[in-house]
Amino acid sequence: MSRYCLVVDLDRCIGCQSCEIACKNENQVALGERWNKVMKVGPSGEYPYLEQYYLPVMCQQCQDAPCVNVCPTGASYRDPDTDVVLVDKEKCIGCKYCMMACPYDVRNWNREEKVVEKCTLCSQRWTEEGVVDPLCVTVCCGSARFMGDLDDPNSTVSQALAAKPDSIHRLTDVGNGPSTAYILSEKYATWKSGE
Amino acid sequence: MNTDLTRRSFMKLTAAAGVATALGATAVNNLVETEKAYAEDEVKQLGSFCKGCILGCQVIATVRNGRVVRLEGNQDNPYNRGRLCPKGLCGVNALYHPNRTKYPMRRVGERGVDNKWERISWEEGITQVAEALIEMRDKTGRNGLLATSGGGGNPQFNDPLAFRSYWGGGNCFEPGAAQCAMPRDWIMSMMFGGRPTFPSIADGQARELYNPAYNCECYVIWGTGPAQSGPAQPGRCCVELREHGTKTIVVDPRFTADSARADIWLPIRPGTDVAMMLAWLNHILSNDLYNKEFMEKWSNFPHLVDPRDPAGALLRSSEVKGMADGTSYVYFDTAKNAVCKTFALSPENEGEYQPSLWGEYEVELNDGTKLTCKTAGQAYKDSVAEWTIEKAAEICWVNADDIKKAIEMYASANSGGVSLGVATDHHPQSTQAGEGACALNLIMGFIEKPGCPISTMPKMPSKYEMQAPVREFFSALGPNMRQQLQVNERSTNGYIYETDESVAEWLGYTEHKGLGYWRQSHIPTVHNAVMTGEPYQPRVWIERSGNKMTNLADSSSWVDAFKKFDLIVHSYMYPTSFTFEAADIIFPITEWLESAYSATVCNYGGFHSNVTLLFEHCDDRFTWGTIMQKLADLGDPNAYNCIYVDNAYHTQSTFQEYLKELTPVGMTWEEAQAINPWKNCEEDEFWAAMKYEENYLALDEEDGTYTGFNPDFTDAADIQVSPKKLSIYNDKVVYIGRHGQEKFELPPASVDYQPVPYYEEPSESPLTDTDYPLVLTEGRIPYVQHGTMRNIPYIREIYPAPEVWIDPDAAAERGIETGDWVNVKSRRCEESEYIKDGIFGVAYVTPGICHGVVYMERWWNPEFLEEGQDARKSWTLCNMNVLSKKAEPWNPECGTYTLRGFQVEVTKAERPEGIWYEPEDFAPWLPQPSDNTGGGYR
Repeated sequence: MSRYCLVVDLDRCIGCQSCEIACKNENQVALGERWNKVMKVGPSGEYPYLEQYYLPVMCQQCQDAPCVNVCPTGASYRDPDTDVVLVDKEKCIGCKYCMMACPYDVRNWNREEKVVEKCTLCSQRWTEEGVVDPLCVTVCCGSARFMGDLDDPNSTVSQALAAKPDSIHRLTDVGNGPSTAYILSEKYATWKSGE
Repeated sequence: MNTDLTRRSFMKLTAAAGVATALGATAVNNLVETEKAYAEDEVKQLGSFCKGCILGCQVIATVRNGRVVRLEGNQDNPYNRGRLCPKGLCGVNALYHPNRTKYPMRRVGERGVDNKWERISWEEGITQVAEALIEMRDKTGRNGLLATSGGGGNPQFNDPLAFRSYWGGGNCFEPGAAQCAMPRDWIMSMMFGGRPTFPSIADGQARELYNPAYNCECYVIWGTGPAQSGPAQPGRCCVELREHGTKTIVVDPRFTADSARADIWLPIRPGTDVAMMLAWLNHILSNDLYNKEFMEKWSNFPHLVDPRDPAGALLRSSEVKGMADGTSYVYFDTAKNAVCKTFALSPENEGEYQPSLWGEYEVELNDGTKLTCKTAGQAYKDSVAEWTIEKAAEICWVNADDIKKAIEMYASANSGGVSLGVATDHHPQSTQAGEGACALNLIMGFIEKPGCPISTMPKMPSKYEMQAPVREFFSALGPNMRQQLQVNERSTNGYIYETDESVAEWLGYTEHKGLGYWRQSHIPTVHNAVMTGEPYQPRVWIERSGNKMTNLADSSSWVDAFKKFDLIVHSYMYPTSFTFEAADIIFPITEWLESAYSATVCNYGGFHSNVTLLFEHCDDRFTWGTIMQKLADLGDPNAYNCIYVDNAYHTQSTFQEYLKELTPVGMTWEEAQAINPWKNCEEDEFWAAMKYEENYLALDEEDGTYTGFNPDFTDAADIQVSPKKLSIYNDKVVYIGRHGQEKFELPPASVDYQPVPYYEEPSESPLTDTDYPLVLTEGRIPYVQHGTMRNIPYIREIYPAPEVWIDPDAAAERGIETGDWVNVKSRRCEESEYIKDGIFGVAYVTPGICHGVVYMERWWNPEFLEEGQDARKSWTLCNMNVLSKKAEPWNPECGTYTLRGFQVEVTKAERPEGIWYEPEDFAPWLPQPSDNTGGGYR
C-alpha cells in the first residue's frame, strides 16, 4: 500500500508563508479560509536565550482517519488507488461532523459552496505519468516541505526522515495515527506540539 | 508582439472621452470585450524573472488564452531553485489588480482634497509635462526639475538620473540611496577597490554563499534579515549554509527566523551598531586574531599617517625628503630599517617588502621638518582602543560574554564574513557602519576566498549572439551602475548636456559628497529648497515609484511642500497616497509581468519577459524617452541632441525596435520569449570559473605587477604611483570630503570625513529621553517590499495591519497584551497637525525583541483611496515613517537621516475606524483578469 503525506523539516522552515499563498492560488481557497496555515511556536526561554519554530499545519493524512470514520455519506473517503484521504464535495451534506472529529482543526468550511474541504496534496495534479509535488512544496523557500510515500524508502519524505532520525515528531496522536511527520532538531528548539 | 485585441478596436477605445472618476476598485473599466486573437485553450509557459523585489527570482508563467493563470519558480536556477516568496506568488494578483491605473489621467480639482480624475491620452499627458518643463526653463532655468524614483515595484533606477542629466539640470533622489545600499556600496568600494561588490546578501550580492561547495565557516548576519528580505534567495541560502555546517551569528534587535537558527543572537539596541563593531575590531586587533600576513602584504595599514592633518590623512611621498617623483604613500620597512615609498608588488619585488603594521616612525620632510608618524594600523588600533567588550555591552544592551563568544567564533574561522543590511543605512552612522563591517571582513583576509561573501562572480559569455543595442543607454546599464551615468561621455559629437555648474548645484551635494556615487541629491536639503526657494526653487516633479508618504522620513512635512510645485507627475502601477496628495498627472506603468528588459542571473541569460500587456500601460523608461522626444520637438537643444543626434532613448514609438535588442540574432521575438531565459553555461561550469585570489594575484600585462586592488577606487585622486592595497584606513574619503569625486573641484564640506569609524550616540536616545522612553526600529517582513503589496488580498489576509513588537516588561507597564491595538507617537507628532494623534498598529508582546525597543514595519492603507473614504488616512493611520526623523544630525558623507533608532511612546488604543482588517474586507481587490492590448506603445 502507499502512504502519501507531507513531511516538514522545521529546522529549515523560515516562516515566510509562501506555502499558504501557493495553496490558496492553486486551490482557489477563498479569503478567510485556509487549507494550510503556519503557526509560530515561541519564542520561549529566558531572554536572550530563546527558541522558536514555525509549524505549518495541514491535513495529516491519518492512518485511521476520524474524518472518514464519522462521515455519514462517505464524502470523506480514502482514495482507493492512492490511499490519500480526500473529500468528495458532491457527497458532502455540510454536517461538519468531520470538522469536529479532526484533532488538528485542518478542515475548512467552504462558505460559498457549503461543503467541507481540506488539503488534497494537490493530488488533482497527479497524472498517469506519476505523482507531482504540490505547489506548497515546490515554492517552499526553505526547501522544508516534502511530499511522497512513506512506504517507499526512496521517496523524498522517507529520505528526509532518514537524514535526521533522532529529530522526528508528530502532532498529538489520539489513536488516529497521523502520517505527516515534522523534523525539529533539539539544538534549535524543543518540540512542544505533541504528546 | 501579439495582442489579443485588434489594433482598430484598441484605437477606438483610446479615443473614448474621459469622465471624471475615482481611482478605487469601483473605478469604471471601460475596456470592452472584443474579438480575441488567440486560439481557444492555448496554454503557454513563458520564462521570466520576478521583480517583486530587487532579487529577480526565475519564474515560469503559465498563460492560458492570453491570461496569466499560474506562477512557479524554475527549479534549475541556482539562486532561487524554484522557490518563490509571497511577493512573487502574488504577481498575478498585482498584474490584474482592479485598481491598476489603466490610462493616463489628469486631476480634476485640488491636490490633497479631491480624489477625482479624468482620462486623457498619452499624447495630452506627455505634452503637458514637456510644456511645463519648457516654461520652467524659460522662466527660472533647468534646475527646477525634480526627478525621483524608489525601490519598490519594478523600477528602473537609472532613468530619472539619465533624464535629469540629458535635460541638463535639477535634482534626483530615491528614499533609499543614502538610506539604503549606497553608503555601504560607496564606502566599501573605496576600501576593497570596487570589485567584487559590497557583501550584502539582501541586495543580491554575496553570491559566493550560494556556491554549492558551501565553504563558509562562519557567517555574521548583521542588521539584515535574509528570511525577511528575500525568503526565496537569501533566506533559502542561509538555510542551506546552516544545514551544511556554517556557524551563524545574528546581530539584530529582533528574534527573526534567522536569529532563531543562529549559533549566537546579539539583540542590539538600534543605532548602536558602530559601537559593537568598534569592540569587535578592537578585540581582534589587540588580541592578534587578524590575518597578519595578509594585512602586511595587502592592506594599507603600514602606510604612515600625517600627524599635521586634522583628519589624519596619509602622508604623501612627495613631501618626504629624498623620495623620487610620482606621489605615493610611505611606509616603514623593517628590513631596510627606513621609511620608504610604497610600490606595487610583483613576484620579483615582494620579498623586499617588509612593512611594519604597527608603531610610529620619524620622517624627514623636504624642508627638513621632522615628523613622528604612526602607521595607519597603529592609528586605527589607537582609535578603537577604548572600545572594550564591556563598554560595547553597556552601550548596545547586549550581554558581554555573548559578544566575546561571537567575536571568537568569527575570528577563529578560516572563511566567512560579515554581511551588513539596510538597518545601518537607516541611521546617520551609515558610512561608519559600512567601514566597520568591511574592515571586519578585510582584517581577517576574508576577500576573494572560497566561502567569503566578498568574492567576485565570473562573467560568462552569452550563449547567443545578440544584436548590438541601438540605444546604448537602455542596455548598457544595470541597476547598480548609477555611478557610470556620465551623459557627456556618451555624446557622439562632444555635446555638453550636463555642465559642471549644474552638478555642483545638486542640493546638498557639496556637504554630502558620497551622494555623487549614485548621483543623488540630499532629501532634507531638497525639502528646504522647496519650502524656501533657496538656493533655487524646484518646480516640476516627475516621480516614478510607489508611495513617497510611506518611504520618506517625517513624511507629513512634505504635504505643504507639494503645494509649491507647478506640476507633479506620478508614474506607477496603481494610485497611492502620493497620487492623492501630490499628483496632477498620472501615467500608467507596467507591472513586472508586463515589462521587458535584459537579465543575467548566474549561469542564465535572457530577459524579463512581457508575458502580457494590459490597457495603456508602458514601461516607465519609454515614458521618460517620450517626454524627452516631445521636448526635442518643442525645440529644446539638449533634448534635440539627445533624441536626434545621440539616439539615446527609446520612445513609445520604438518599442518593437527595442524588443529586437533583447532578441538573439536570427530569432523572432516570439521565438526568443519561448526559449527565455537560456543557460549560458551549466551551473557547475559557472562555479568552476570562480577565480578567488587570482583576481588580485594575476599579473598586470604591462608592468608585471600583481593586479592588486583597483586604485581607481582605493586611492585618492592625487596619488600617482599606486601600491594597489586594500584601503582599510580610508584615506580616500578624507580627500573626497575636501575635493569631491567629480572631474572638477568641489568646495570642501564643512567637516572633514574621517578615515576610521567612530561612534555617536543617537540624537534621540533612551539614555536621556524620559518623554519618549522606547526606541523604535523598523525592519522587513516577507510579504511586501518597501511600499508595495498593501493592496493584495492574500497578503493583507496574512498581515492585515502592522505589528508592534514590544517586550513583556514594557507591555506590562502599559497594560498592553498581544492583539491589542496600540498608539505610537514620536516628537514629530508635536510638530505636525496631520499626525498629531499618532499612528496605530497591533501589539505583539514577545521576549524576541531587544528589551526597551519597539519594532514596526512601514505601512499604508490603500483602502482609504476607495471612493467615499478620507484618502489622507491612507498614510496617516498606520505609517511609522510619519514618526521618523528628517532633521539633523545627518551622516557627514552621505547625508543619511534617521529612519530607525529614534524615540517613541506606546499606549493602548482602539482600532481606528475604516481600516480593512477581516479577510473578507479585501475581496474588492481580488484579481480581475483582462486581455492583452499591447499596452500604450504607439
